[in-house]
Amino acid sequence: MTKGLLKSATLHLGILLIFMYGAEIFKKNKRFEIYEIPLDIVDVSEETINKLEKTKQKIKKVPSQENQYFSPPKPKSRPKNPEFALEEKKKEKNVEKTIVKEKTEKSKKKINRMDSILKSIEKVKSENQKLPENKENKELVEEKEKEKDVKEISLGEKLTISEKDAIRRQFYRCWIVPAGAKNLKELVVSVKIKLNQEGEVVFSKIINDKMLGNNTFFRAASESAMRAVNHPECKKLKVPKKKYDTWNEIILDFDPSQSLN
Amino acid sequence: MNFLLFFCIIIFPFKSFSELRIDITRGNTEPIPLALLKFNNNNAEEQKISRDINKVISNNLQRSGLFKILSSQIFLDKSIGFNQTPTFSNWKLTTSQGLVHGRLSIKRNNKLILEFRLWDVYSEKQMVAQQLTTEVGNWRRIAHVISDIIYKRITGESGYFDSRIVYISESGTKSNRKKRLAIVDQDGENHKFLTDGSYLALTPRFSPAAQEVAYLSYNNKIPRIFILDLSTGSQKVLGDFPGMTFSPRYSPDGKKLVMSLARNGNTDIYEMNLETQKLTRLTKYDGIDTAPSYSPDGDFITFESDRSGSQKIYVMNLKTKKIKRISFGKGKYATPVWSPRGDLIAFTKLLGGEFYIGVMFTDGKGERVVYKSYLVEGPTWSPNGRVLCFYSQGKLSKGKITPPKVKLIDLTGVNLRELITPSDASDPSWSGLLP
Repeated sequence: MTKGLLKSATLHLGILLIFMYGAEIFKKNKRFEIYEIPLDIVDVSEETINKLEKTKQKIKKVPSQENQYFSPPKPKSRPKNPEFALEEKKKEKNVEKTIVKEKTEKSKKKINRMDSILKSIEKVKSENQKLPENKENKELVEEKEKEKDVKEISLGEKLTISEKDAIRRQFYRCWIVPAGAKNLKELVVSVKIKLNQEGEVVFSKIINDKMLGNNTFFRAASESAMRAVNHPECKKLKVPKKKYDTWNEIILDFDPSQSLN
Repeated sequence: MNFLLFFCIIIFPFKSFSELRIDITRGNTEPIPLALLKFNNNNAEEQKISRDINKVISNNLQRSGLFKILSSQIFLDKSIGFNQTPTFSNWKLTTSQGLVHGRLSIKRNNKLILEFRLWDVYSEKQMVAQQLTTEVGNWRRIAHVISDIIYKRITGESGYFDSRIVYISESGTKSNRKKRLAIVDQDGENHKFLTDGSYLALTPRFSPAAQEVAYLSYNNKIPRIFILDLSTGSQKVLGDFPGMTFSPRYSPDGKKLVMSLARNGNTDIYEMNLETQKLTRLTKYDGIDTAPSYSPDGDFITFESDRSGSQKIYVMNLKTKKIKRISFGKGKYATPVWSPRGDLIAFTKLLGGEFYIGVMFTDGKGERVVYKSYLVEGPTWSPNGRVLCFYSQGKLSKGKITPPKVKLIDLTGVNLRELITPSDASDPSWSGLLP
């Protein structure tokens, strides 16, 4: 009887603990709820102007850093006369003979001290000169090497933003927007085009033609998109020949909804 | 089999991601260049009509602001056989995106037969091939119908060329102003007076079938709504109400009329069944509710009211009778008119001593001004909801104002035209497409 009670009690206690801890976990999960953050993903090729500008800036920054190393720091206050100079002044009043000796000593000391200062500056100079050469230059060389690698990869694979913009600009001239039509957001026409190595459009087809149906607006919009693709000024696109694998097939989304903005 | 399925699932998504996709969000907003060849004909009479029809089509399309008709001087081919495929390379050189050509013949029974084709020059495809037949004297209608067909095929939207505008023709001095009802084609042709000017006529409104006009008349100095049958010229008074009636407007099915009725200093909106003459009160408010206009489905009305302390626009659900205010901007809003397309409401606004014609979505969002002047009033929509017609007066020096003129403007607010009328003109109402 007691055994049974004990078993039952431990079992219930266990379930209670599981629920308690479980509930905590749930609470924690709720506390750390992940909210979706909308993100626009833009393909940025490494061959952009910004990147080049950054490297240029870095290269420009190097001499300014060097100047910092070589220029002496500004004194915070006027330097006090050295102790040995004060002693010499006192001695000058007392003994004339010793003046010559002390002067020579002073000058020696001065020369020695100046020498040591100059030497230390030279050391610092040489050390500091070595530092940027070693660190900065290595970084720059590494970055340039990386860029070269990326360039070599990207040249065959991706179109840069400016190359895509060039295609867009070409179609801006050829496409007469069906402005003023009803529900412009529903009139986005997607046209698949195939190009030969010269960049000439050799095939074009509307790929969202399911919407054609009885919608006269969509039919007009799709025809205006096709007229743009067949326009003599857009028959041959301005595309980089080296990246033929990238642009031999393009899907063009003609979106009139933003045309009135 | 499983391997194939696995292969398809794994490979195809990668394939789709690898495609280069470019969005074209801007384009050319210039008019579409069109080549319009003279219709082939056999004699001088046919040649004259062919030339006239050509001119009307050309004017219609150009006036819409959406098309540019190219000069025939740059055409390499001066004519094309009706059953011949055009040499597209020659037409591409003209920058023309569309080509219209056809043939015209007059039969012994005075029947005019016109066949025409519309080609997409860049896609090298035929877009339209049609034959139209009518009486020779009706050649202008054929020209309007062809314009509408071309317009619809290229823009996807029905045209508005085969329609008419009824308006108030004004003449005489300020103290002795004569206001007559007049009708004209949308291009300013075929002008006719409908009343003789012996009594004041105001606020004409077309019935949806474009065969009747309801208007406010001060015959015997009592304001009443009259209905004029355009085919017979007969008129009838719409009821004899114990107050003043104004701002009539037909329902989309033409079976009802919504209007304002002023009783004991209170103006409310009423709906009248034209078959039973039964009057139903729609609004009940101790102020001014006026200028009602139906939505194209007939389920809602929009009207102006001062119930919030200032003139604003409201929308009423006719089934639930719920009223919602939709205009919240500065200024006084008036004369809302629902677009036949259903997407917009046109209105006039008075702000800072100037009048504006604007449009907003039916929920009040997206307010946009399309025209402003010293005085602009009475907006009315073209049958396709792409053009607005209204009348305006400008301000001259020394406090003088210009005489009222009817104007047309497209939704972009760019393409402004004046309707040429023999005298001053106000209060226009645009018909639907003619049956």
